[in-house]
Amino acid sequence: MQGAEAIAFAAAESGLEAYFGYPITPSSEIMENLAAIYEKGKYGNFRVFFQTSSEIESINMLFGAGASGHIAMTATSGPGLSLMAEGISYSFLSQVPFLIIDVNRGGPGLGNVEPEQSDLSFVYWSLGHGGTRVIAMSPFTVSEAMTLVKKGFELAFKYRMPAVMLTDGVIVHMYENISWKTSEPLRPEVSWSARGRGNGPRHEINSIYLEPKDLRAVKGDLLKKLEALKKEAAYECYYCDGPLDALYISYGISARIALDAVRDLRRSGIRAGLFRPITIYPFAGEALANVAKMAKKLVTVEMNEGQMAKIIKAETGLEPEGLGYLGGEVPRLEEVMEAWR
Amino acid sequence: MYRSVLKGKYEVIINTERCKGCEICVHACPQQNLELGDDVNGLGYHPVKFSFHGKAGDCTGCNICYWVCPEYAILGVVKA
Amino acid sequence: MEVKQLSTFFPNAANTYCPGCEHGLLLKFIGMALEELGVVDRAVMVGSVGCSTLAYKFINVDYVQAPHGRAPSIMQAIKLLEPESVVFAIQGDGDALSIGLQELINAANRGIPVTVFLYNNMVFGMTGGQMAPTTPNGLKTTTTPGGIRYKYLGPPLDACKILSGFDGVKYLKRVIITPRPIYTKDRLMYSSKEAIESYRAVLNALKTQLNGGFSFVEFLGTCNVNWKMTIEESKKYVHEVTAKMFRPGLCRDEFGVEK
Ligand SMILES: Cc1ncc(C[n+]2csc(CCOP(=O)(O)OP(=O)(O)O)c2C)c(N)n1
Ligand code: SF4
Ligand code: SF4
Ligand code: SF4
Repeated sequence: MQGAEAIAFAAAESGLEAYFGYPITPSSEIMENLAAIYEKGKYGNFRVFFQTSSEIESINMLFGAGASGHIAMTATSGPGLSLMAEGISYSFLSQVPFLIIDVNRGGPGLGNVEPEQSDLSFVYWSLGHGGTRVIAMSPFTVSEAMTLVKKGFELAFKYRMPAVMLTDGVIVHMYENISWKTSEPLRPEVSWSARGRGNGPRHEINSIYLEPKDLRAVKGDLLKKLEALKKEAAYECYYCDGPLDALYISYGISARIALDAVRDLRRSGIRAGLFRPITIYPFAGEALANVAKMAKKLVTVEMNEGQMAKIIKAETGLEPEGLGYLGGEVPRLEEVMEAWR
Repeated sequence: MYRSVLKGKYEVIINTERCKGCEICVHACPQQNLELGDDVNGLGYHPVKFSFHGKAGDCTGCNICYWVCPEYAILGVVKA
Repeated sequence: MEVKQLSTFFPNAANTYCPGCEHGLLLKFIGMALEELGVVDRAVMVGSVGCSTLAYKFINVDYVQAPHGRAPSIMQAIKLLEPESVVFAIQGDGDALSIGLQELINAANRGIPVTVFLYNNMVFGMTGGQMAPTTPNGLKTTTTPGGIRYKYLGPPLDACKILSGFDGVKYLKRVIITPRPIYTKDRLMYSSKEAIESYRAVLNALKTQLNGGFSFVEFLGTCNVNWKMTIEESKKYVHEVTAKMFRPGLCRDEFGVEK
């Protein structure tokens, strides 16, 4: 199945209720696939498909859907993601869940539509103003993209905050064999949602706390929530069971090439390993630090100017060497292999 | 008999804690039954007081004060 | 003697508007109308950004606070997913016509049944009286201390004129919500006609939503604090100046709810 189709399928299977989106290359195929699924009407839960007038409208419709307790998502790319930053910030403080799929293109500005991983800093460090944080995940196969869609919904609702799946045109356009276990659609607990108070108490989805002590208290609660979120940090480690000549650290599409390089190096007797974060936020810093102890050298491989390397420094204090590919170029296998030295 | 002399046919019910003393009802009442009192409420304003017998006559239950009060401080006009 | 208070408002709260401001009046009428229509339990207020934001402290219905200008988008999503809900927003003229014009006209064009109440006080009230897209010539604001130059800024935006271009809008009306000062021989009086008419407009707009249509009512009101006028002067200004520029009246009533 093609990545875009698989992502759309996984979303519908997981219980998606509403899709709101504004077309942008290279994310549009996800939207188009969802339009086709919606049109067929096979998924009873999938009640709303909506092409909005801008990403500003998309994010606010996501906010409305999440605030009323419904499973909603959008797919976009850098320029759209930046327009969404305002709404994401409101959602973080108002504790509104939804899923955004960012199909990273070459940026900033119009850049190009080739794959990059240059939205990483934006997504990891804040994706908004005032101390916003979002859950961030990055798949490296089509199958993993599918499971992360479901996981994204689950985490977003469990922690009541926005979740972002960071991916790129390679994954979205790639054909791969998939495995998917059909399961019951998700039914998150949403007794907090605002959809008319009915016979119950009133619900307020708000981000205004005019008294400093009130805002301080809420932000304190949010920080506790982020602390609890840490246990969701996910990663994979390849060949990490002994001393390493070099530990590569890479994620998403870059990690595929890094893994090829590691396997080739192993064949020629070099003890290379790969640490691959699956969640970027929360970041599996402790796990990485433990593996890194066994390695002579750390090398990040990513399609930006070294954004992951900065995150690693902040999370673990480690200072890996970095290979960065810019402008829509994917990492070159020979170069990655050479970097172990 | 005694009651109707002291009171009147209608009574305006006021939540004085909401009143901001804007005097819109004071001016709007055709019978001049409402005026600001001397007390100060929790918001720091002199809230409106109702008297059954205004400068221009008894309260007629016309509801004008209810309609114009922007604070929902005038909760309603009832038969006394 | 006690009266039963409206269940749409918190019994022990006071709203936080400036004294005499009709923002409070509009909120009160919405509370009355929701109760009269028996839809309090299904109501969702989407707060916009401006003085109407302060409604959340007072109104006792489900509430979602939007970013500045984005209330229509949020309202539409809620309505699409919760068709039984009664969804409304109070937007300021800055919120609806400056930063949020795109969201508003797209909502109007689509006609998803939600209700926008526009409180037009011709300035940015909450931020301290800056120019709004509705500010008339002659009203000094903090960002146009020398008055407005139309040649440069264009004339005030007319919401009803804009929205009348969209068939999706099923109820469209402009009313004055400011009580009119009446000067008798010996004293100042205020009329209640405007208030009653405004209440009817709120009721009819919500009825239109219940009938499946998008509704929009513009209320001409004051912001005496930022107009640097007394309450009385500001009320006079609405009737003598604002109402001449933005003509009140019914533009559309597709479902005949006014009858
Ligand atoms: C994105 C953004 N820009 C600016 C502001 C600041 N701001 C808050 S309210 C407001 C204007 C409100 O004016 P209006 O909508 O006319 O409402 P009023 O307060 O007059 O009722 C502005 C500019 C904001 N909150 N968000
Ligand atoms: S009901 Fe009429 S007469 Fe009585 S106090 Fe109110 S405005 Fe005055
Ligand atoms: S109109 Fe309302 S707030 Fe104003 S003085 Fe009268 S009771 Fe008080
Ligand atoms: S600032 Fe103006 S619009 Fe806002 S509450 Fe005060 S008078 Fe009303």
